[in-house]
Amino acid sequence: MTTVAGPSTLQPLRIGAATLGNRLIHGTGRFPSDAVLQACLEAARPDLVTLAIRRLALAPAAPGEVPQAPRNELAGVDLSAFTLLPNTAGATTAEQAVRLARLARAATLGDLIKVEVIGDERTLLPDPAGTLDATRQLVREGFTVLTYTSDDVVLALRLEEAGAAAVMPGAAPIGTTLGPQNETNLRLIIERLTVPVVIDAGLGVPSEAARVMEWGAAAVLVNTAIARSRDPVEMARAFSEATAAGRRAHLAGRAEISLQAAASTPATGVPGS
Amino acid sequence: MTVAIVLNGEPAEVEAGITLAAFLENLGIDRRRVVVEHNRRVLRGAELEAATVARGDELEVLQLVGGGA
Repeated sequence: MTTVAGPSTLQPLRIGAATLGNRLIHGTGRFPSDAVLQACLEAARPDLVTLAIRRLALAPAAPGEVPQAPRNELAGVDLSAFTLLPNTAGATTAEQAVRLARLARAATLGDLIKVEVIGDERTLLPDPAGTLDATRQLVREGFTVLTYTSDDVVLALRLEEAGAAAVMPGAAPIGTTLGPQNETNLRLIIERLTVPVVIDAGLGVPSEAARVMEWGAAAVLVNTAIARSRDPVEMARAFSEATAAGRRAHLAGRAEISLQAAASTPATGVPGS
Repeated sequence: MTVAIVLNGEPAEVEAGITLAAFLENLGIDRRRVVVEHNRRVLRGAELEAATVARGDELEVLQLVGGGA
């Protein structure tokens, strides 16, 4: 079917209370400075940004000295325009993830949580059993759970059954920027799940974000590929544009592949023949 | 008088009976930017005014930081 429409507007993605007009979820780690991160957020204009929760560094004051107020990380970044998606990064058990999620809820005053339970420190690949347990528990506690997982199709299905609001398979191990390593599995996960599938971790360049969006991913999460690029602000903008382009292309539907060449130019009316 | 507690995983001495709100204020910590866990229970707003520190308590003071995956 061919449709003729006016200026294209993309429908926002809804996950719990979050509305994502922009389907690029922007990370906030590993940036060269708060100022660069702020400029990236202004360039990419995401709706949802990820954060982590960590102990405040408490420097005890010497006797008689006025204690120094500890510096808050991200103090130079205005996050008021964004919906916050805290993660449970650092957790290696379901129990730790649940504890971090409760703290994050108090810190962000929101119910969104990105569950991460790491099973192996070298690859940072998720622990399947812990990830599933943490998802179940946090769903019971009323969180809107977005679960980071591997590209295992059956685990993704189990996470959906457990009540995850979105499932977030990694394209490649966290921070590698290798790009999608298992197209078949990622596409099967996108095809089989009813809840939004967000491709998280391991993307390297905007064309990869566009490609997974063309496959039908609901959104992408990008951090290292932006933060560690030569020009993070331009890369943030490029990822934002590519994510939207991939979404548009998915909705538009690709042309059929054919091994038979077909001229896209009329064969008749050529002069001088 | 002070009592021994565990603060962010490290042994610490704090004034006996101090409220958590006063404890944070003494350290110059803006309450709006941190989240406090007292003996594994997350405290919110007014609860910091009511809760007091006792010997052996475990206190965690955390903040949001940059992160992705």
